[in-house]
Amino acid sequence: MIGTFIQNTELELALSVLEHHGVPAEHIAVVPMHGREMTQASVSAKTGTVNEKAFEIGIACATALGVVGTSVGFTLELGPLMWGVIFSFGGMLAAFLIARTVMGRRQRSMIGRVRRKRSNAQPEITVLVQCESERAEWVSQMMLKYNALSVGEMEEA
Amino acid sequence: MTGTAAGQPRRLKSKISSSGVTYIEWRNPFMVAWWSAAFPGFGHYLLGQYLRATFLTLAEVLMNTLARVNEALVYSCSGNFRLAAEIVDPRWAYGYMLVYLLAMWDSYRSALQNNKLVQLAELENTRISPFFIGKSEIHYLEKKSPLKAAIFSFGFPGMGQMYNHRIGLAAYAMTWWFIYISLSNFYIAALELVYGNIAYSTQLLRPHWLLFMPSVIGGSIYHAFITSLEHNRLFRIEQVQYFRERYGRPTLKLFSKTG
Repeated sequence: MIGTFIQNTELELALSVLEHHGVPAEHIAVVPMHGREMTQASVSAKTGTVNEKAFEIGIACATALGVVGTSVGFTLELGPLMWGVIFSFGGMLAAFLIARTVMGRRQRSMIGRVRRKRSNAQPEITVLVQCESERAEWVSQMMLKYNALSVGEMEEA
Repeated sequence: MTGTAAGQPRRLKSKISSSGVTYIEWRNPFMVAWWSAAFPGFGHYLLGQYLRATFLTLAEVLMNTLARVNEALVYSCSGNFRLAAEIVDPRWAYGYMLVYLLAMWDSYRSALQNNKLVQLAELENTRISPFFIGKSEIHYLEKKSPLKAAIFSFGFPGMGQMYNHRIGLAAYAMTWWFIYISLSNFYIAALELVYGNIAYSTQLLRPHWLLFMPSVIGGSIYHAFITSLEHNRLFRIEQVQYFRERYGRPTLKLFSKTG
């Protein structure tokens, strides 16, 4: 049986339950789907989605403009609270959109190194379990019960 | 961890203890310097240097209050440069400026060194511990939602840190937020704003304490957001380490050799 998963605690539960019910650990193979880019640590440190990075820059700008907006607001009609909030949200939105556009364009121009947009549903782990054909259905049910994204069967040749 | 004898880890990637998960992670040095500028100490929090960061934040509040820097900032921003110059207390202003600039410099310098050590720690790839259970706390690595962490800190700075199991920082940030809210008259002024008494609302606000608040809420949101992103990364690395140990030598027969 072959199942694909995203990495979370349910995946460990699935494997532990299979082992608890008598599937030996040697009959289970776990393949991280991270390619070969990192041999030691399996997930590269500096990568993040464009949205994540843009959010970080947005919050930094919102803070700076929040201070300015609050200070300026003491002499303006709507007062410091309103101007602080307006400046923060305006700064957040503007910085987020600009950063996303710029980084998105840069990312797209990197031919051959384009990272696919990471969605939550993209499998991160493939699990292979060797078992008798009578147990195949039960193994498949267990995988699906613990949030497998997809499950497939490979007949013995 | 002092021992570096054979077989013992030289540089740990992370440690889980009753205070939460402490870890070393790649940082953008400019981001670290920027958060130090927003609030001295915040850059050091991002580097996991919690004690010295706390010390610097205390110094910031104390010296800013004594030197009256925030009031001067308000006057400067509204074009009142004469008043700004008058209100600053020179006995404290120079010390304030020096600590402010040196904290920025130190956090930037530490970030550069931090990034080299991260690479070494990752290549060494020591086993990450995913679970801690002690007399009064339980901590574990888990998949977290960065957005939820950010919303928690937006609602009340410190709550995002609570969500990320950084209980000391959470309690510290929440205490200060309470102090800022009450000393700045924030909630009362916001209430007057809702009633439409804009001028009265502005009168109520106390600029000195109000001006700490944007940096604190922004820093808290940022810290909560990236910490939960990085917890997710630690979780994934640890899980792969475990899988390699437990399922590293499978005896599966995928393809038969006949034919």
